[in-house]
Amino acid sequence: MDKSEELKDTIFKSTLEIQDKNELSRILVKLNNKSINTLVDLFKEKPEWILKFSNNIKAKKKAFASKDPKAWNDIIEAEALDLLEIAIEEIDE
Amino acid sequence: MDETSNSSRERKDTMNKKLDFSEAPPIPEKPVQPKQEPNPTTASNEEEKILDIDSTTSTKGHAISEAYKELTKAANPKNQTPSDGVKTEGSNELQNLLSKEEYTHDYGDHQEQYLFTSPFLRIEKSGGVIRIVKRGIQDGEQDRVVSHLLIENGNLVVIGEVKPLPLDERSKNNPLIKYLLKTGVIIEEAISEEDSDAAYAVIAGAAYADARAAAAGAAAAAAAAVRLKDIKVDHNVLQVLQGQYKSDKDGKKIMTLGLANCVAVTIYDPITKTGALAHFDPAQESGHMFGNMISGFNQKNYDQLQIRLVGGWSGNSERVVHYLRQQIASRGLEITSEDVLGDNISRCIVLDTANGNLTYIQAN
Repeated sequence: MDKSEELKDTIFKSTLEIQDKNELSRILVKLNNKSINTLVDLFKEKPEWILKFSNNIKAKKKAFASKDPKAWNDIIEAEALDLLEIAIEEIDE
Repeated sequence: MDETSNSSRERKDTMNKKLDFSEAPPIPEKPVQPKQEPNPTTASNEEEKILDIDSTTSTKGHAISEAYKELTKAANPKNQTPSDGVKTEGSNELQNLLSKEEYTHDYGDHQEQYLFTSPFLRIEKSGGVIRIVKRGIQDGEQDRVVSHLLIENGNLVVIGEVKPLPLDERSKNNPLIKYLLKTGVIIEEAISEEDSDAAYAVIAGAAYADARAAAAGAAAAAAAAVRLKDIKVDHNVLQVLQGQYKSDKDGKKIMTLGLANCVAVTIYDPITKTGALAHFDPAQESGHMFGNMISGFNQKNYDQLQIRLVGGWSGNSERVVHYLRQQIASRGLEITSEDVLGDNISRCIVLDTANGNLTYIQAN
């Protein structure tokens, strides 16, 4: 199966609402193949990341709509922590 | 040992074990952990304990960063003005400034352009995003992104609060910094003497580390290793770091430290009293650095140019020396002098644009 299709398939097997599945897959298939491959593996290994990304886009939309810098900064800081966590995991591996 | 991108710097990044969030999404207002620039200026031993999270080596981290970036784009529909940021009007001046990178680093799947670097900050361009990074100066302090600017329809948009940035004299004379100051995208922060000393100590420390590395395995190199702690750093001297080139004129001096297996090219035009110095690392792609460097000189004066090659180790740097000789010859230019290769020598040079003199900094 094409990796983009596999990504969509993985997202559609998640517990997200259908509109959230649609949106997330629409956005993430824009990534390059290397990133898509990695995300497919990540989603299979840790499906909670699908929800994390879905919540991320919702939070960002809300922050933009409310023009709330604090909300925005909170999202960015959470992302930074996510990246830190992943990196530490990779180092541990 | 410098703040530019190159594979050597990547090696040192790994040594430095820095945090890397290069692909952090655009528009954060608060500082987040920045991508660690491949930057040996921070190659001091004290920093080796800092955790390494270089996205260039973390496939998963990179993919997640990319995903976050896409999610940000999707959340920020076109024409939506985010928060209470500053927006500059698009102009030819802006486009021109943003097209003049000091160098470009090719990570394979993406490129990053460094528009400006100083010991205190750097300005990175990646896609449609400009990151202003305040560099960690004191021990244990990490580089951090203080502003993300979006290039949107030719305009520059910064989200949220405008952050003060430490600007040294050279920074304030840089056209891009001037523009950002003028348009209110950045504001100046006074540099404390402590920070100033620390910033330059980092550069000197990195150079010392390079010299020390050069000394490894060769007793003779120990004598050649420069005792940089004994060198009084002139803050007005333009420092050229690994993988960079810089030019100046009117009596200014341009300096590069720790030419171990790296090779420097200096070009001096005695008519315009303009000089340029480039620091090439044999382990990195230099891209168009020599071409960019030479393009700053008037072709009418080519026959007057004084071009020198300095640096490199035998058995290690022949390729870059050969490459530079070719680059020079292919433009019909002649090398004025060479002091290249040798056994584990670490050279430090200063080009004086007042007279074209090239001086070696020697250990006391």
